[in-house]
Amino acid sequence: MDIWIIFTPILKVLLYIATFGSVGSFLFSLQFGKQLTAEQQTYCNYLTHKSNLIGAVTALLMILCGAGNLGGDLTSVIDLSLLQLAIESKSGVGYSTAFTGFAVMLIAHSLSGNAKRFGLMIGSVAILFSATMSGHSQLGGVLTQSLLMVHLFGIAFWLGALLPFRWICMQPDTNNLGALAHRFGVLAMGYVSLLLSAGLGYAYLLLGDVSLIFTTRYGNVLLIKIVLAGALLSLAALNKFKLVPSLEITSPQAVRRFQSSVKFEIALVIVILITSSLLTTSMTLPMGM
Amino acid sequence: MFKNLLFAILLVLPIAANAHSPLASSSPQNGETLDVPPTVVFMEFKLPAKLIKVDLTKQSDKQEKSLLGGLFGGGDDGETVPLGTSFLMTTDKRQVIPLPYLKDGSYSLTWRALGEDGHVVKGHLTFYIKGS
Repeated sequence: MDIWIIFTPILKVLLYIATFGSVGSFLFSLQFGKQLTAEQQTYCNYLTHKSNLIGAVTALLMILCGAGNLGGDLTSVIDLSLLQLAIESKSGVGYSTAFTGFAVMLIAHSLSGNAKRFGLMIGSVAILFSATMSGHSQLGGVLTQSLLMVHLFGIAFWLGALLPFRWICMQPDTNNLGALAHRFGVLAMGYVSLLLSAGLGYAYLLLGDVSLIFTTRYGNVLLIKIVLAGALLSLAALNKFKLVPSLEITSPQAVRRFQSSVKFEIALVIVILITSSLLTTSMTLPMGM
Repeated sequence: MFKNLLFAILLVLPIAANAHSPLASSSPQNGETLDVPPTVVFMEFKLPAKLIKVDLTKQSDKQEKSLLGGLFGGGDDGETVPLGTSFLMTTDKRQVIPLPYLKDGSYSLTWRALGEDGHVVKGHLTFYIKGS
């Protein structure tokens, strides 16, 4: 066993969090901008900015980690020949693209108006696209890459809303919470169906046979992810049909219940991201990829 | 408590996850006992890969590594057997590693390769030479 099988998944989880924090909170402020108060909009900008910083640093660390993983020991991260190999590999090109996306978003933050919005969109697309440039999504070519891109876009929409909702619940002014949560629930039906169908289609194309879910280690971890995602969906359904309608009468109790539910969703999301990072960094597909 | 649980999951799961081999076959096979020393190690990957690093070690009788030794590469590593480099950096499904003359004993071959999809794949195989 070497240190890289611990470092690589941990960094990958950080990269996922930064990706969904950055693209997700941008999508959230883009879709709910008109309904948000000035403070809520400022918090979303803060989240996007912070996630971009973490993402840019993590993308660079992933390239160093790639060199270390190739050589096997800690000194490999400063071995120039291994670094060159890591940068030129498909993963290296993907992480460089992610770094560029985060950097573009950081620069776009200092702009205003349409230039800012355009920069943030370009950065978001680059960050999501970078995830399709290496790894298992290469197996089925453009089809699996497109499905992964749609899957990630749906996740960004969903996860990107969790931290803003948690923050709004903790503020003294929660007047627009009910309306925001209601609209999110309506939009989520479309986004979540999209992310689920793309995710399941992607998983089927990678495995090629449903029985491999039970008979291979990759399939077993995928099954754990599907079960956890099912639990997350059930929680989201509870929010939509039970907690959100009670929010519209803005009772402090309803807000507290909604906040607890969002916190639990965030915890579940972190466990799902850990299983996803294992699938993409530490597991080999049954066909050896 | 939840943070501790997540940390434990992160530490333990990769160790459990690392067992799946990207090799379709090898000769010698992992754990094989040979009467005659092999002149090459033949590895067939499931998908094309570029060998980056291969180490062959003749294991000492009392080879035991601590957890930290295993993580950071310290501890008793046995006797390193020098190999050439001509077989490295070629992308192919079939890789052949020429070996020097090997005396009787237990050998461990560890390898790292870069898969076509950009992932690092790695593994090890152990074989024994027990001359008649």
